[in-house]
Amino acid sequence: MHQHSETLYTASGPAAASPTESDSTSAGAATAAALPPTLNAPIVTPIAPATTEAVLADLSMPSQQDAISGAPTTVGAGASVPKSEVQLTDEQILTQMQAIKDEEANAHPLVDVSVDLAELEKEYENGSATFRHKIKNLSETHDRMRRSRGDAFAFAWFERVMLAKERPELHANAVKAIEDSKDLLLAAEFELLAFEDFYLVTLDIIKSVLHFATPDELLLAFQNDEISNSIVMHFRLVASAFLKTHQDDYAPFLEFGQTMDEFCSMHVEAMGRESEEMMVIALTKALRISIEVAYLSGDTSADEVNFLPFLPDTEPYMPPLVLLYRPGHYDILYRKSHCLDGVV
Amino acid sequence: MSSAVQRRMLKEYLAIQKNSATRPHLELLEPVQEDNLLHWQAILLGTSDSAYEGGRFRLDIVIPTSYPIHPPTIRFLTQICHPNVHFKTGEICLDILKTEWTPSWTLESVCVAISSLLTNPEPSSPLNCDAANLLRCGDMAGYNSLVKMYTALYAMDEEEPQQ
Repeated sequence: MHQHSETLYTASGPAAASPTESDSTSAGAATAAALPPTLNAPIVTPIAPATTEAVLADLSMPSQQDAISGAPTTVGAGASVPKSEVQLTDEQILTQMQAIKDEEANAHPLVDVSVDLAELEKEYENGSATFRHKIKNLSETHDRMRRSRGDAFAFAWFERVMLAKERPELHANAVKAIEDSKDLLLAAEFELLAFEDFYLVTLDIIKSVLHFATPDELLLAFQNDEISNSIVMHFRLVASAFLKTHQDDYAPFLEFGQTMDEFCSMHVEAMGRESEEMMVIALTKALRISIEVAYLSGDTSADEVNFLPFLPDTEPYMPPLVLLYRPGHYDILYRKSHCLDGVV
Repeated sequence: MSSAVQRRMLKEYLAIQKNSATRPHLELLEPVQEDNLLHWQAILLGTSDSAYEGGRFRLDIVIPTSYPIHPPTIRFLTQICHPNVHFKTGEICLDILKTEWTPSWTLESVCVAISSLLTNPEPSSPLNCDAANLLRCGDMAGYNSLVKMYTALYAMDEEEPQQ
């Protein structure tokens, strides 16, 4: 009944871009260092490198920068943490995880102002050469980033629509996609009562998005908890509804004998859980948006950040939204205008 | 935030009044006081095919202001003998109220889930070990008679709801 299976599932995709064996070990060790020692045993289950990422992600680690740069000091600290002897109850673990998340949440706004990509380089000043090199390459084609926590996708999309005032069809498509999502949710047998409030808030924002003059005004709307939570929740339900109504295609990728309903309620619908690859796929297809996810990992075999494209089933009608994935969350990347059409 | 939860609870309230005929095992689900939509009560009826038959089980439901992002806190006010309910505090061990809560639940669907927990106990995660142990060793006669006794003892009074 109570399993920590949320940390067990790993989508196949990020694994492809996941760090090498040694890198993933150091990331895990850094996690261990940042957590109360008793949390280690029940959560960190060494299945595959990607699992460690999922664990990190799920906890929204405050120390994720250390985890990524894999600074030698944190590795040492992690190695000395003793194996846990005390078994915590689910509830205690949940409470502790929530405390860590809340701490992180209070430290950063939901979506932040956009900054020059040099800010990302600064984060890794003392990190490994691999990361610095990859970010350098990334800055050839991208010039800005926007840190976010939770609703990177929604903000990136709505901002794109807002800025493209000369292309009203982007707005029309977006409104249509959100309106259509109501039928998708009903088809997946969600109760109208349960999702209506989230849906209406989301629809209201996209309908009025052209009235926002600047990204900062839109940002202000997204920094309102009620609006932000509603949009995130609606998109989570949309992803869940898509997966539930396309079980034949996606259920084979589930692990550990999970049913699609179990997977969706544990990973997709629940707030604060990591958006895994399957969820990104579901969103792109349900809302007809193309996304490219840049996976920034310590994999030393490549000089470039690994980009994974997620395409809708229909012909994309605008350049992909670009998200930067690091364990725990997605930030928004802004591609230089002359690179918008090409693939990096 | 709180206005959102008020709006949501008002919607649920209206929907519950409309659907009352479709949920035979839920005698009551309403706010304790009309002016506070964040504190509810419910009465579950023991189903006729179970040892809880004839019992009326009162639930106390507290809605957090972050509902439905976070789950309501629900406990039994009526003392009940069940593997997943704490005999003294009425605390309920049900995954959807804790680790597996998702905002797609409503108060009504949660109450239906608790009602079905009565007839489908999960002895592997017990809050009442004595009841769970009887089930785990397959002593259905012992389990059923224990449940029947406590149901008769605590859940069959026709007392007025406590304020």
